Amino acid sequence: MKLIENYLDSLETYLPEEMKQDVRDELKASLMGQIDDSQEELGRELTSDEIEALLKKLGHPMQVASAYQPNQHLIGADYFPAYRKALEIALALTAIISIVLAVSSAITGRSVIGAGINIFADILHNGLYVFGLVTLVFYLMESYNADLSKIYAWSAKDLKFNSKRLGLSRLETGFELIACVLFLAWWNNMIPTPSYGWANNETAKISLSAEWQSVLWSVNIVIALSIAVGAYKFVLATWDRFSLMSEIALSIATLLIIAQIVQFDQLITLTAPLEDNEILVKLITHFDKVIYSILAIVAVVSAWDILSNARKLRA
Amino acid sequence: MEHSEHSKKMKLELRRGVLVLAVLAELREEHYGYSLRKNLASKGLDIDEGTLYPLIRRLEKQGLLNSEWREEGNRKKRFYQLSDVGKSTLKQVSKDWQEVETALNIILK
Repeated sequence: MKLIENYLDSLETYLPEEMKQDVRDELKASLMGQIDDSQEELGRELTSDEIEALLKKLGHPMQVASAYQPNQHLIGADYFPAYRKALEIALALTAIISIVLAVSSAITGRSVIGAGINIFADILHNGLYVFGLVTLVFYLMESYNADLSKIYAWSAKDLKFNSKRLGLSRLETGFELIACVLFLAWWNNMIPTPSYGWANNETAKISLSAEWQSVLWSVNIVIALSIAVGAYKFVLATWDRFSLMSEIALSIATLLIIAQIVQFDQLITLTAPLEDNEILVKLITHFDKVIYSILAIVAVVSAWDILSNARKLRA
Repeated sequence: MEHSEHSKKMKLELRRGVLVLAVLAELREEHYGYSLRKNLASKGLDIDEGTLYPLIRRLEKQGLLNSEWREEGNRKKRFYQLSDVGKSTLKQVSKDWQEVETALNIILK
């Protein structure tokens, strides 16, 4: 009977204090009953191997003990879909905040590889905290029977914005976000304008003309709002009325800014140790063409965005 | 997954669904854990202790069973029997079961 006592001793270690004696007595009575029946049937005492087989059939003490206790999971099936969505949103937010903070420090900081490692380490580090925190919140909600009807509050009218047609790729939105952050940094002179090698170890510097100062703040506002809307889209991974209307408004603002820019007399300033004015004019004309091409592409993309987002709004 | 594994899994799920009803019905008469298990097995419902005992505890906690510790043959045993709430619940669930059975029989025809 030593095997049985050992088994019950081990089982007790996995049980809360108030259940130990009860469960022990109940299982002992059951095991002894089974042994009595088997011995009567066989006409002899059970061997230790046979008793061991009996205990093996009952299961690992940890498993048996766990069946006696309620809530043997962190997040149950009822709460799990809401938990998964909350986790997805919280981790997306963490990723955005980590990337934005890391990009700004990378611009002012050291190497690109170092910045990349820092971004990855930050996302992992903060993500683990967020994962633990969200799990804990949902565990407590389940333990205190938080109202499921409030968690899953929904309206049939809102569901159309979750259709597949209105889905968004996080990867795409992520790239869009990084591009906006980098542009904003460049626009505000946080990234140095490149200089080009010239003859006799001298350099040429291309910069935007003074006229661009007139659109400095309007561009800043449009890009900052684009980052905010992009972050919102990244978190939700879907279009909704708010993001569609905001994107349309931002695209219209972009077109208005472009309309203002094309009226500039001079787009760029080229500072180069050049004596021949003809070459200088040719170079400026070339760079003007490049900027007009970029503006034309941005204008076409903005116009297309207005049309496609308006179509999505009507969907 | 093989065909036999599918049916094995479904059989387990089916049994899990009807287990509470079988236990409540069997506890119209007083039983302790092992005698209840033996009785159910003799009627074709073999359940392992790890499932049965925690289940009867939960049912007791829900007020569907009454329990009492007694000594029998020099051994402490906990005897369970349907409470008044358990009796009325069994009556209702039995009715529900009959309806499900009738509906399923029609579907399976």
